[in-house]
Amino acid sequence: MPKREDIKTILLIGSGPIIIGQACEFDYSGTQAVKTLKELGYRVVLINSNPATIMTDPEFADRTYIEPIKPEIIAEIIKKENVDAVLPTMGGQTALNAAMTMHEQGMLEGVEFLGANPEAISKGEDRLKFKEAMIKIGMDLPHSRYAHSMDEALDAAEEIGFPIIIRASFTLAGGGSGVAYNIDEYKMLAQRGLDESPISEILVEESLLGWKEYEMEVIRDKVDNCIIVCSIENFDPMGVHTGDSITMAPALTLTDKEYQRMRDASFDILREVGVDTGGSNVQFSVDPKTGRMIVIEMNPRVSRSSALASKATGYPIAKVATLLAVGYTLDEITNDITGTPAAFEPVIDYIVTKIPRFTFEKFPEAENTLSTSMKSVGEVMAIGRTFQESVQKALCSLETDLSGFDCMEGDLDFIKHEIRRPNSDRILYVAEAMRRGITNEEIFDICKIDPWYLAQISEIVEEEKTFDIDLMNDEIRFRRIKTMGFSDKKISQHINRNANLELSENDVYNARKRLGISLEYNEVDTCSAEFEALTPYLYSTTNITKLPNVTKRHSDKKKVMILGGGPNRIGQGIEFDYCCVHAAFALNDMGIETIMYNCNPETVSTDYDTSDVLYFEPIDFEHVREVVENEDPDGIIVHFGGQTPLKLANSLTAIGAKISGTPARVIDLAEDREKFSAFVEENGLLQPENGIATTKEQALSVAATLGYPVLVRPSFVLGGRAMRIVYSDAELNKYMDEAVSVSNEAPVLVDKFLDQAIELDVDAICDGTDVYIGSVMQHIEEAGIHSGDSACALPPMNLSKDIMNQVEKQTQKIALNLGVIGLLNIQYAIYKNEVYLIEVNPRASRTVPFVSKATGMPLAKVATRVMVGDDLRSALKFYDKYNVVMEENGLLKPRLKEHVAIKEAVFPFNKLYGADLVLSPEMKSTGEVMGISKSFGESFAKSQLAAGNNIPTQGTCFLSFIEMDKEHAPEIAKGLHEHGFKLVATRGTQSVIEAAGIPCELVLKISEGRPNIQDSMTNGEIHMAINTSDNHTAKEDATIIRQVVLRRNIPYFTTLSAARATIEALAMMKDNNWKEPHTIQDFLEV
Amino acid sequence: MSNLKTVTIYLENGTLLQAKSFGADTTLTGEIVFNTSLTGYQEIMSDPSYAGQFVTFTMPEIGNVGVNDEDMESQSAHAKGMMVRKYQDAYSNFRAEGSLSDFLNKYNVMGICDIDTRYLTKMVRDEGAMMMIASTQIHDEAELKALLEKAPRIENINYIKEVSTKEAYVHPHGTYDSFNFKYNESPVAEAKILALDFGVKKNILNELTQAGLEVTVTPNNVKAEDIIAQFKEKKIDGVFLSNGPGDPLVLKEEQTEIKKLIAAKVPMFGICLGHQLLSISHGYDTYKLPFGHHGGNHPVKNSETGMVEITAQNHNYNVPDNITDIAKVTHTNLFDNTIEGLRYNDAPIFSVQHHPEASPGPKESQYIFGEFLTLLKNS
Repeated sequence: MPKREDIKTILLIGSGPIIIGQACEFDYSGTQAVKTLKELGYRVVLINSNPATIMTDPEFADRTYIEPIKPEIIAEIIKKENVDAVLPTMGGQTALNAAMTMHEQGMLEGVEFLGANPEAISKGEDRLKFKEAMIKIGMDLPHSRYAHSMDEALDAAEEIGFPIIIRASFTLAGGGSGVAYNIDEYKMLAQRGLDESPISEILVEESLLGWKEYEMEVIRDKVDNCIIVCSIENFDPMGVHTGDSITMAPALTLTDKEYQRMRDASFDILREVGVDTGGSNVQFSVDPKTGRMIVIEMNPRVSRSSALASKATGYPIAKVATLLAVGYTLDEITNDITGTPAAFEPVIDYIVTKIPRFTFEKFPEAENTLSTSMKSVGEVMAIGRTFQESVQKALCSLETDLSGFDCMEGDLDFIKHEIRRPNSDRILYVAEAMRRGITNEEIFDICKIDPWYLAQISEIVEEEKTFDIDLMNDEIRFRRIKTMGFSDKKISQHINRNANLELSENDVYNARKRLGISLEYNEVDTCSAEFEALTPYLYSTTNITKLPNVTKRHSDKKKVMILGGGPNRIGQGIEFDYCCVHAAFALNDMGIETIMYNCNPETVSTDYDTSDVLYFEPIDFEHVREVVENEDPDGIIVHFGGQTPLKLANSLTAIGAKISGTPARVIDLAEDREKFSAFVEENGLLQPENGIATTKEQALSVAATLGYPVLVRPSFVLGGRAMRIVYSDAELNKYMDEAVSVSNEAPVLVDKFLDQAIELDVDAICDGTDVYIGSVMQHIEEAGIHSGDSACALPPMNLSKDIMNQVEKQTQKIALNLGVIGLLNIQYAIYKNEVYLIEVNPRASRTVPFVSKATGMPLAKVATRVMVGDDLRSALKFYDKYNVVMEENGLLKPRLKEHVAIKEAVFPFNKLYGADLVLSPEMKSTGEVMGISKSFGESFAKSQLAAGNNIPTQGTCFLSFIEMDKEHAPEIAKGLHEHGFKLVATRGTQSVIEAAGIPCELVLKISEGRPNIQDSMTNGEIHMAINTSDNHTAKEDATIIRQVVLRRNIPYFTTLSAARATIEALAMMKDNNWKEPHTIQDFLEV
Repeated sequence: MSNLKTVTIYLENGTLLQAKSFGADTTLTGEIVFNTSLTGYQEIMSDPSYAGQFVTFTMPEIGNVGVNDEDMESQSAHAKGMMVRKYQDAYSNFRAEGSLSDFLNKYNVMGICDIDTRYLTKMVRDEGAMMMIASTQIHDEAELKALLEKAPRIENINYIKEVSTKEAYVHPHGTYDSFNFKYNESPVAEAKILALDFGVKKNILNELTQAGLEVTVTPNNVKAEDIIAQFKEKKIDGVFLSNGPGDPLVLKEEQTEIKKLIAAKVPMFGICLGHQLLSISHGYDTYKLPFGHHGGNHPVKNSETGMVEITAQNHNYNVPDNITDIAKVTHTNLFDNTIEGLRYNDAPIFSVQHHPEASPGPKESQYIFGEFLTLLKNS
């Protein structure tokens, strides 16, 4: 059947900011959906508050609303745009919840649901309805009961028995879930679950700990054709959220009878739930002893797992689901990869491993035992011909400095403990236990990881013991070892360990090449080579035998390779993938063949149709080098994927690879503190006074010279890892002892901290002759909070013309004199009316997508043209769709339109239990949103709404100011008072405010007795909090307040400038129209 | 598993490869085919249709779930050998009773691992199915080549006699209950049939029985006259023609007998080889596909319902397109548009090329067994 003609305008709801549990996989699915709907000729309206997404590029949808994903705003859009149907299944839980809320409140009258109807969504999502549906079709379920109060919860626990799983209803990524082993723990978790569930409901469930866990990715069309795209098996047994589990595709420990049982059950479940069309994910658990199979849950939408399944098989689930949603059936759709129908089940002849990426190092207080609530921030996928090759490649892909199964420290008791406790390094401890002679049987008893996986890992461990120098001259042995996925680095380490030698990775590489062993490339083709693959989507493997006639991929076109950013993590996420995708688009515009290289399955960059050729590979020197040898690209872009590819610039240059744009020498100059200081001096620029230390004593002496406070950090980091502001010798001592390990190779940088300075972010492009100032953004938070965590405004709120000129001129000078060809990002601090240079990064920055959206000039695309030889002026002209570029004072810059764009960061504190809500120079946010309107106040209000920090328009505001801010307390209090807020404050702040004649009640600090501020907050008497005190220490009072704020989701501001911005926002929020949505196209087409 | 014996493989296109052996220590010749199923290696290796063939598994990890008695599709393993990228002797599954290696040795089947199965698959895809020789004893290219040239080609061997039952028997149970892990008891029979065993898969008999048929499995050489007599005396309601190995064109005796059954208007249902024999017996000779269909993911469109069924497939031969002169095409393969199912115009006969009994594979074509019962009741 052809596409539906009765609908014209379709609204697609995005997933909003990147948070734990919802990452860029929904940009991948949403972008596929937008492209597909556009190609079919539908008018596509999009809402997504996240500016770092490809889908919100103004050229994708017809109408793009970068607005908070809230029912009242969506309703307004539906009215304005005359929307016929809504597609809510591409934007994760956020989109689904928004659509369901609207449906329940009758806000979607006359608007059709595409993909899944409301009844099906509710059956799939509501645990009680799901349970009833499953019982109806005879599915086995864990024994469970619902509870809506602590009393009910205690009854349920008695009936079911420990250990018990607690799941909160209607939360994302397992929020409010956990495993309780005793009654005390149970009471705590049950209360948290009841608090977190929007309907105060928890499911109390029989524990399936130690059982095997599987997922099926299912597609169904409207005439009931069903297929399984991929089966996924979890390496970690039940008890760990599937997003935090290591997973494999295809399932490896099922016979056909058990696999078909699961397949049939998946279809029955989709039918009963009523998912009419599209992709769903069904999770099962199997008792390894008896084979009893239990249904865990289903998601009636595309998901993280469906993105993984798409990348694992080459089958584009989101695209197919979109086509099915508008009326096609599976047999009418073509599989792009083979040209055969999409109505089939992909088969693969390799093993896929996904390993999640965690960032506990940024939240040392957070509980790092893995459980049913998701904690990882990203993931890597690796493809190998065997499990062993696949898993070792995945470990190399993580970019946590692993080169395979690295040896782990600790005594045997500790190692056993780390095997029992699910944690991010458990797989490494499993191998370590084997190394130390623990039997597979004992390991299985401790952790219940399937014996087949243990056998595979123990084979790796046994093999590594045999590595010796003879290997370097034994082709057969070397080849066999290489097929097991050992990296050159790992081989060198084990030879060195076994034979007490000092071989380098490069020695092993040389020996390997001499023996004629190179990595070879296989296609991901959906069909195990049954048909010819039309799209080159490749992974490397070492062949088990040396084969005759292996042909290399050949192309006569000029080709450029783009190195991606690897797994999402805090400090390096979707923004960099956005830049890489734009590079591919720009090269395509120039007729240059694009080669994408990445290992993150959630991304748009790893979609097979983003680039001409896709390599799904670890981003380490060995694997990149092999691809360079295989492809011999005319250029390599290392500047768009964040720090990961940038670090490879020197080594790639050293092997003769051609880096496009800014050369390795310039990258090094900008990153090397000493060389850069010399550059700053030569150019007459101002830098905060600084020093460098390789020992604790040196650090103390540098600090003494500079005077406290000082900013300390290790060199070569991204996202401000381990960056702190320290105010005393004691704090510095502590930092040097605990936070960093210093050495001559890894010194610590000590800067004078410019207290209360205004911080600016500048993105610019240079071609060696001209410079384009992409934008100057002003941080709303003062210097000292990582730029990624600070809200920022474009254009700046209150910079003098003179300062703006200085900033622009300095940027031009730095770009030209440094030798940048392409993008650069500079951070400045304005301190006592002088411009200080904080940092220069000769690469794409996190703000590139935001600036591109806000100004209408796609910076990464322009820079790409410049990097492959175009001049800046013509590159700008090529992309100047909105007539943005102007020249002033010998500088190119954007003509700013009538809007103000605010970027606000989004944090994972509520997902990482125990983590402290404190902003610092170390980046902690996972994502960002944009608020855009004609005024600063309104944009700020929107940005807060989109970030989930809902500014109330009335109620009680709690104020607490640090000593040096107290003089500003009356100003803030006055503003709030004028907007009708009742004020409460702690003693010092309260007296200052009262003295200024503004009514303010006294509230006790926690240490002062009861009732105190904690009681008020817990009782819901406080609706907003502004607390600038003690953000750099963890004093008990402040910590407890922050915990309550998190738990009660109270809007919270920690800086004076954020408080001022809030008051400006309140002024705008008086007008009921402040939420009125506008498209990015409308803002730019002015 | 570095202590395995070396096995040398020589293909008729001149390719010589070395690999490791995890199966029988011997020298065998046969036809190389590939199978893309991700699960079910035991069912495939015990499927009599693979007699005379070396099966290349595109699934790279094999041996992982061991073997068990319940998953046998016949009394033994009939293929010449299996070729896999990686074999691991360790297995894990709650139903496993032994290792795949022991299983292959028991039935004198070769197990070849540490070989690039993707390379072999592409070779078969591009050059077609071909003859090969594998040996753990002989490693000299010239000697292997000579042995391969002397060996009979698969088209010239009648494997049916080897794989068919010697004695008739009533199939004792229904399908496997994968929730309770046992075979269902036979339901009350609504009709009786003879199943001509050309190498029948056990699950076909399970499905026929489960559909409400009493199934008497008979040797391949049963005479048409006997069958027609039983049919006329209403001792049976119809005949099932099973799957089986090899080229259907060489089965002259079977064709002669089937022609008589057609003439006597005996209701019949055929699967795979049975489907091909019905075509040939109607005067429409089969042809050889370039590399056959072997896997569990082929889309087949049912033109009577419009639905797509994902099917299990295992065949190298196909019925010709001009059979539409005398039969209606009920099923078509969406990969290459070949005929997958037929309903004959003026006879109570229908047949399918794919495997509705699955095992291994998806089960959505299971309804076809019920259609046989309907046919019998209405004839």
